[in-house]
Amino acid sequence: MSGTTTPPGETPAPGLPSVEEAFLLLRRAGLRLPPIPRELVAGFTRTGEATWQSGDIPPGDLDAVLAAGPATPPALGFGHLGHGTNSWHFVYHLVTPSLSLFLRIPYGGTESSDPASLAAVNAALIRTEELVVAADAQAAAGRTLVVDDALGQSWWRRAGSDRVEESENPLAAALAA
Amino acid sequence: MSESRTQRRKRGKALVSPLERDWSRVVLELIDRSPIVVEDEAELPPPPPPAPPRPPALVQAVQARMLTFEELTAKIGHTPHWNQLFGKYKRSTDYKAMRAEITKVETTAAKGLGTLGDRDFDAMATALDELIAAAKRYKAAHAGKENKVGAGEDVLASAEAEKLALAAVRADPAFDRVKDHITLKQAIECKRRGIAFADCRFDLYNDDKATAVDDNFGAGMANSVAKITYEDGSELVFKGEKISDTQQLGIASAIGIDGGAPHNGNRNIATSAIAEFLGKPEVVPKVCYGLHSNPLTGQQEIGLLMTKGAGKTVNYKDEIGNNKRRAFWEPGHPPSDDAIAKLGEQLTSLDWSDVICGQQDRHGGNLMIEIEGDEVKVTGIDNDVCFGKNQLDPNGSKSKISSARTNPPGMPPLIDKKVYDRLVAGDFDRDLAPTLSGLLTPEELAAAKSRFDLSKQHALGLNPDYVVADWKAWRSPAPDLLTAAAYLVAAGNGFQQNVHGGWEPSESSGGLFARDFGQALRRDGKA
Repeated sequence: MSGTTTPPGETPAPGLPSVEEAFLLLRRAGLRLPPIPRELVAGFTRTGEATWQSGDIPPGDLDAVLAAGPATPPALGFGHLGHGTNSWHFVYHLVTPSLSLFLRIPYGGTESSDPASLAAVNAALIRTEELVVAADAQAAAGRTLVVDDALGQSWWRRAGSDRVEESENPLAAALAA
Repeated sequence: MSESRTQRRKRGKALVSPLERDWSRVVLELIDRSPIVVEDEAELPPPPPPAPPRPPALVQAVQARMLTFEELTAKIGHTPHWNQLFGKYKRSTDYKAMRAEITKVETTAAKGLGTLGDRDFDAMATALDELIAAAKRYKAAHAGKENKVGAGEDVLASAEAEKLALAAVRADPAFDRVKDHITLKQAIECKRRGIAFADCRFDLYNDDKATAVDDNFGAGMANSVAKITYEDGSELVFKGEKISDTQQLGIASAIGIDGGAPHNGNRNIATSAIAEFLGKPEVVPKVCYGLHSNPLTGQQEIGLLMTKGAGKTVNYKDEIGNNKRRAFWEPGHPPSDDAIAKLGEQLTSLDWSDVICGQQDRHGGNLMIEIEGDEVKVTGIDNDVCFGKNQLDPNGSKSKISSARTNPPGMPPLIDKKVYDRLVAGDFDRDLAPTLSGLLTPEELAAAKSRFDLSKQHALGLNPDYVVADWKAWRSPAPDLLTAAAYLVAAGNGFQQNVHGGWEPSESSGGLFARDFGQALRRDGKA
């Protein structure tokens, strides 16, 4: 970790330089760097104005996360996406052998540019760190699936179960299980 | 902008310029490495919170498994020093030639539109031709060098697009409406965004007419929305208009919106035209194009100005991360019957507008509600994802198109009498095509006509029992005799129980009213 980064206007190289850039830009916006599993650092790269990914699933692609099967390689993506005045969200997804997680949280719109919106994003990212560890512990049972989607439904499914559980806060519910 | 106005201006905090830059800046940045991260004077948000205290074993497990905010903070811990790689490049002859042509084009483009005669327009067209030739030479001279070929291609594509736009500027019948308020460059930018001058109010809505500006009204890493108060007393929301959308929503591409030319502003204006045609203009914002300077670049930008929706959005997320449907009243204290009637009338009218527009994005964050006493205001905002060329069926805003369904399913089961009268008496080609044809592509216009005609058929099928002249007094046919509220809620919230006892999306519903207010109204005995 150098403490320096690529010149402004350039896209940093994949891997740690891109992680560093993401960390700095997010921190300046008041956001935590989302957890990045170490095996996904090498392929980590900036893909848009404020989006990053490692693996084949672009940020915000819920369908691709839901379609992930046992053979789907690990994938990570996050960033700020949206359109118009209020349709803006912080998105995060992670697909590992033990976890498929999709977050789409209001952030950066006319109704979501307040400290409470930042707090909600940061709280979700902190919980995600713990969920990754918890899901790994259940890996033998299969993959935990968690969807917290401001544009659709919020639900989760424990590893090895077919039962979908709706929740106002599926991250917290999955962690508490 | 006067000094006092400048002082009243709240600076934006977006980290990255929210708008696609024009072609000359793109190429200059590629070659000169101009900063994209702008250090402005904005007040930064508070630093992100640390992780809460955790058991040591969990800390260890997190550290072993992931790169986290804490680890990066420990290792970097300070703002980095940018590598100093600026300038000092040996420029090729072809680069200098291309740069000279860019300068020539920019000089002409900076002139006021109203000061230009035919000779100036011809000179601009010639300058663009020369730039196109210079860009081709630059590309050829650097064959095999990916970055430089890419830069040449960017210039070439932009110059060709600007040449087309230049012709469109001259041909616009409302040229006189804008000529004294913008430069040629801005006029070209309008055309690159598909903007008709008839939809612009640069005379009324520019920074010289602003009395207060909040550039921080909506802002995140990649978004910036300003709230501007003007001399005429209007308070409007300004959103810069993009030329293209490189990270388009999946649903937008699914319905056929071209990410290379999304023309989102025009879709908002078209939505407003539909609501107005239905006699319910108040259910969506009033919109037009205006000018406002970007707080990061200081450059005047063209963007959509919208009236601000009253009240609050239906959905929100609380500080601890719970997804919530907003409670617009306390349990046991529902709104008056008059207010409930108005809520039903306005939300159902928005449903009708949405199905004709092919709206795909009416989630709870794009719907604002205000209930005060007997008065209700419903506003559907962010009308970007609609008027897709692929969507011929008004009943298509459903899971048929995408799993990320954000609109309630099905055609509206009731219709306001005023909306009904307008719709059944309407003729798309006569009443709407003249307005919409300047806003949509021919394919999008054809799809809109299909949705309009099918919506009209559905409305005719609702007559007479389900056409509502009085939303408070209306009752469903015997024997049920349900109020309008109860009837809509009984039609469903968009989900149905499946054979396993779980819930799955249904194919019909009571629209936005049932989706967003059904549960609370049923709880309080109003449905």
